[in-house]
Amino acid sequence: MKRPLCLIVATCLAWMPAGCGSTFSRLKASMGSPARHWRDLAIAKQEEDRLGEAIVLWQAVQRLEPDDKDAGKAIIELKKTARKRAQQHFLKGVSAYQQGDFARARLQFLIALRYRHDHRGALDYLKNRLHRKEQVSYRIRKGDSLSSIAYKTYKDAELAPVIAYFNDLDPRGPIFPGKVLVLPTLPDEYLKPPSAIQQLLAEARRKFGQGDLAGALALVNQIGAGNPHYEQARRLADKVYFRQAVELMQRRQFWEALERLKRVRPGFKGRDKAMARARENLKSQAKEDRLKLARKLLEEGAYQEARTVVEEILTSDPGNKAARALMDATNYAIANQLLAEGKDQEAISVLETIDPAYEDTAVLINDAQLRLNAAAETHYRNGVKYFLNEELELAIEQWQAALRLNPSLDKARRDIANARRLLKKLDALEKGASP
Amino acid sequence: MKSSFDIWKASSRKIRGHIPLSAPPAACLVTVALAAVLLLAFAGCSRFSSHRPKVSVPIKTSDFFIVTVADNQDLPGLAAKYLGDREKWWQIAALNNVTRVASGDILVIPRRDLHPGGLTPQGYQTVPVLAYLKLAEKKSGRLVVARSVFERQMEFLHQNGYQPVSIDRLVDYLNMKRELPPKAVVITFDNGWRSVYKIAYPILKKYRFPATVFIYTNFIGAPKALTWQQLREMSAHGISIQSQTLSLPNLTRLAPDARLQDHIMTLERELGQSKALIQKNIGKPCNYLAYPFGKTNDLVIAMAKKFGYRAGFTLNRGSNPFFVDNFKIRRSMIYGHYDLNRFAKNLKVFEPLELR
Repeated sequence: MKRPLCLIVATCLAWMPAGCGSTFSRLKASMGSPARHWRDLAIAKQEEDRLGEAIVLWQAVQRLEPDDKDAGKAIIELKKTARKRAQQHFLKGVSAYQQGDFARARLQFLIALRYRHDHRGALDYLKNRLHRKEQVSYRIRKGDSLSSIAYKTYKDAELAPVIAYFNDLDPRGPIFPGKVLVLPTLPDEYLKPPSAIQQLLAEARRKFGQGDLAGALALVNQIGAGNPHYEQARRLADKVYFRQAVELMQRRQFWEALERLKRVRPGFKGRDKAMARARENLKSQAKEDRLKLARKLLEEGAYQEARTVVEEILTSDPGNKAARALMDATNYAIANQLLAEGKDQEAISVLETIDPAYEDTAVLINDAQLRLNAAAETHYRNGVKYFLNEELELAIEQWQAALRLNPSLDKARRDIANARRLLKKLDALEKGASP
Repeated sequence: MKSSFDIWKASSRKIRGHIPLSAPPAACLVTVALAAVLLLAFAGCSRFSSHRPKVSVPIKTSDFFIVTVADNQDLPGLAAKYLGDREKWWQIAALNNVTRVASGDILVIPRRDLHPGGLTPQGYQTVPVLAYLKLAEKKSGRLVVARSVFERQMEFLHQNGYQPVSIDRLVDYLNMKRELPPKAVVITFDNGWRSVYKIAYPILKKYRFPATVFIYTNFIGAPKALTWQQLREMSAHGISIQSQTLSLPNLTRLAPDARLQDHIMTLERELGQSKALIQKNIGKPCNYLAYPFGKTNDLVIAMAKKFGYRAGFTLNRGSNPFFVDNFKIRRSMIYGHYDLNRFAKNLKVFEPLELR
């Protein structure tokens, strides 16, 4: 008894880990039978709404267990559900498409296709109708010719050879009613404009050539009102606006020029440079206006105000020669006013800021300085008088006044020193004499 | 290695052979109990074979196979054997909810694609198409990718489970004819620079990655350009050679004062002659067009269709769902200064969207 028992236990123990240890847990979950495992898997897929996979798994169950009624029933039900849901979503998609809600339409068609990937309608919408068409079909009717079709399609009968080319037809050969033609969609820029527009455009070009910019622009705007994207008209409009801007700049109307340039589309040759030039000129023009104001103030005798304005200009543009000259003129006027008021010293300070070559600045400085020297000499003499009268403090005050007017008057400096020494001695003597 | 079913059969024989019919009742009970334990253990351990299947596998129907995994057989091996394509292994994995298989497992192998277009209840698959221009041994520039950078990018694809697929497979996927692996990606090169042969081709071969070279045929044979011989060699080893026109003009630009008819003739020359030249020199169909500079319009597309192209590639960045316009397929240009993070941003393979 022991031997077979041991054998069985040993076999069991040996087999369990070796045979399928790694898959033990998942195999246990599968409950042993493949059919049962696939049944569970099919139900799980069903719950995840993966009907296609569920159907295949049910079919596998049915194949292994032909008597399994659940499998057959599930397959029929799932197929029916998939068909029904696909059709429901397809119809929702068509409705959204007809309402122009293409994003919702796409979503519905995708769901329809997920349920039934052979749903031709949904696929057609997704792959074709939701995309822009680069060609359309046209069934030839009785009385049609390639030229008439070209005119109907492109408003240009001369494009008949293009239709012939795309349909491998002889451009001069007959065409037969009922045949379906492929008509490529031609980008607008390749198409001739309708004749009325062409006439307007030709007239606009003629006016532009004659320099009648306003006339040309009026016609271009007329074309643009009905055909805002008509390229040739847009191009002419760019040219007109640019030319207007150039003319306005020549008249120094930079604001107006800039406004015109803004209407020219980016990428137009010369636009960016012209805009930069207009902006630069606008800045210069602003300075010029300030200079005009300063000149006016100067003329009116408001010298200090004029000087304030010119100083502002020079702060932002130190190299501005016109402003520098105006500053000299302003200072010259101020200095003259000071001279007239007898304020020679202040006048000299102002005159010294002016270019010496400006007007008679050098002469004025010289005259003023002579007057100051003379006044200094008077003070000096007055000082000597006080000195002789032994009024030393008063003498020092006079000599100091003389030095303020003429700092190079050395004798006044020496006499001041001498007087101070005497004052010091007298002071010492007085202190020694006192009890 | 024996299947669990074989082991079960062997064990049954062994048990039957060792239980004496004349054994005493107590001993018999113990033996029966042990046998029951053994059977239970066996039932718990055996995947599908605790009861023997009523039919023997493999089973073949129009919709699926039922197969038992043989020794040393893995998912790609099963896909190769039953579906004729190793790369379809993931379809088996998805249906059976497994990531790997062991000998003796019994599986259902779908014979039809179950997710054309990569549609799932959670969203849909998108396929990135990478575009490279020039490669160089060392230096990277904006349009020049260094060898080391390219090698790292291919290694990144390999290590992260991306599966480069051929352009034919991409277009079949776009037409809902064929599923693609969940992390499918397409690799393309533009113009026809010789560096594709010298640098990219050996690396692609190393990883067995298919790719496509779009050439403009006037360039072929020029200094620094590929030669027809090199193109033929690459074509024989999984690199598809396709058209990027004859002389690489901007196909959408009408010459000043040119008539539309003249422009159409130019397009005919650029699209038709390049296609014919490639087919003649490579000996394989040329079905795909990369628009020079990625630019196209309705007329160019109409012409491409007229000349039998099956798809057209732009340079609009982004991945492609199956419902993209076949003649406006997006491609993401990979620039030389991209690091791996930036590169990986161009590898979007799924668009989440509630699809129920």
